[in-house]
Amino acid sequence: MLDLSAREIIAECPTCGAKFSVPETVATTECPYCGTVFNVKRKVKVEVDHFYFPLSKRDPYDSLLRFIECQYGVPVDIKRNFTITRGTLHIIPVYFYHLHGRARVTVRSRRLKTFNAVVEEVDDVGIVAVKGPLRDLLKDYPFPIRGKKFFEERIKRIGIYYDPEISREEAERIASTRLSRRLREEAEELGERVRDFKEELFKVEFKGLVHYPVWELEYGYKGTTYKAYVDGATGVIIRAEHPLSVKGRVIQIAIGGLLLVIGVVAAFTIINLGFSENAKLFGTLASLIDGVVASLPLFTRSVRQKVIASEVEVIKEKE
Amino acid sequence: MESEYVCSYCGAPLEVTPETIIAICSYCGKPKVISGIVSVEDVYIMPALDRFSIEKIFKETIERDFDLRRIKKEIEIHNSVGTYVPIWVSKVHLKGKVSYYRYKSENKGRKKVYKVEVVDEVRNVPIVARRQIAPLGTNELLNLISNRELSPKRLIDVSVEEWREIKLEVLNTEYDKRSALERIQEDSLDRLREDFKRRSDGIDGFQVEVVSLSDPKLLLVPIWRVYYSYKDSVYQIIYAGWNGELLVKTEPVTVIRRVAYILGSIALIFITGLATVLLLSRKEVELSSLIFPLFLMGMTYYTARKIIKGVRLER
Repeated sequence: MLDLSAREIIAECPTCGAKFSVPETVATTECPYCGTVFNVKRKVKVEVDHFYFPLSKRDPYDSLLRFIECQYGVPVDIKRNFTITRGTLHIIPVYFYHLHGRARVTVRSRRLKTFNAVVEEVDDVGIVAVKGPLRDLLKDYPFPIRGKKFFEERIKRIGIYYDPEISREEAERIASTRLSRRLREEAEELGERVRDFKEELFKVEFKGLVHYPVWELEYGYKGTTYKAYVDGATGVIIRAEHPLSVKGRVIQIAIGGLLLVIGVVAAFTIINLGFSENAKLFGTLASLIDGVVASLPLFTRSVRQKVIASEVEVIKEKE
Repeated sequence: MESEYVCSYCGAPLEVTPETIIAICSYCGKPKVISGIVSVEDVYIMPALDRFSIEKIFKETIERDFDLRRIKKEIEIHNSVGTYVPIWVSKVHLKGKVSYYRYKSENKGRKKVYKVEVVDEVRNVPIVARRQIAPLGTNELLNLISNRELSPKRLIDVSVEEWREIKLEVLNTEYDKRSALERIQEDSLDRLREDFKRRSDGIDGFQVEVVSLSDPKLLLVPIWRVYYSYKDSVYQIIYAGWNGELLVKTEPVTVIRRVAYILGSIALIFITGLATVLLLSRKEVELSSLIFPLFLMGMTYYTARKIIKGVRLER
């Protein structure tokens, strides 16, 4: 049997009195029960609300290449022709919140008549505090919630550092709106109509301002540049453009062309049928349009040289 | 605030932050319970199959699959990646009533047919104990866990020798027991509602509550992804890592299927034109009947899109 315990001391929370073990060398810790941050030896509360996520030791380009290699339609020689062009590290401010809401609702239904129920929502959200493309990129991103460390000044120098552009109050408002909207939505799913809605618990708990590392990478493949974003803390691919193999594209264009021609052939066939002129006019038009409709997906995808993939969300166009 | 934790297996220093629940040794990969909020007794592991066994199972899958069997000579294993996913599981007792409906078409329009079902069941509700997770395969894994009685081992009972055999990368655990309980409570109702939604055309009333929840266990569950190459692309088959049960696979769309989609699109182009002619040459033309050609065009688009789909998903 193995010894799984290490050198630990007992920390006592100055707020709720809970006792739990921490590594001996830890000076400041967070109470797992009430969330108070305190100094272990002096047993006093410390106001810490600024954190950062440490960088992963894995090379972000390596994570990226491993991911892209396994995507559908990627040329087989990507590994050989993959060239690193540029890597920028963004240190992005994110307000972390833990949301917990509960509402007592009265719902009307056809068969169960009017009944009472409870809806509940639990979630952790990160509200990105910068504006522009980085915010759009990380809008619903599942930030990890554990592993952050207390902020250090040196973090400002490891990459492009951003100060928050939106205030904590504004972030809190966004988080609250999200929680109440989700509670409402869930209540509406319970029956035909929500008669009464009373919030019983509405907790938007601030977990700190976290400076989060995100890599913006650029790589080249046969003369074209592709862009990718990699989570600096976990190595997860947030979003990556990648090439499609040329062979596939040529075949697609050919089939697209064939379908267009079929549309024309169908139109001619209809002209030669014995129906009224008006009907024939619209009939030929319909088959011409349908030829275009059919060739559309083939052309649009094959013209595009870049396809987007992500490790954390299912991107629809990848099907 | 850095710790002086060392791995009790190999002695390498462990990277620990104040929030770490389970630290993973970067040298030997062994998980170690750190935080006092998860007790060592609550952490279990499903020992993983090794790479050799999983690749053997992969070959058997290829042999059995209707499409893959035919192209097996060109299939090569690209790489296989196994990971332990941390999952909290609790037994949840749900009780209540659900009223749902299905549409039934009649000669004039359609009608809702209602049904009320009594719910009184105890089910295993698993949730992934972290936020970042690859979407493909994870839901299938959770389904499998909720429908099966697993017999995991306590992590504390895994010896150094055994760990060497079953070692894989272990994903970080983020939810502690308390937040796991909150989430399981919420999730169990959400999932039941989804089940009913899938089986019906809509829910009329959902009056179910959680009667009780058992103390949750933290399970480290292995998942194996075998990436294989065929011609110039890579596909994957995902297995439950402890017994090799197939969770989900992606496979190439074979030439026969593609040709079928092309022929289908061609036929639809003709049909659309002809249908329009026939509709318009009737004596009385109703405007609403023109929706039909539009519907056909939608179908053409959908079929043509399938021609270029490179991957087919099979569960």
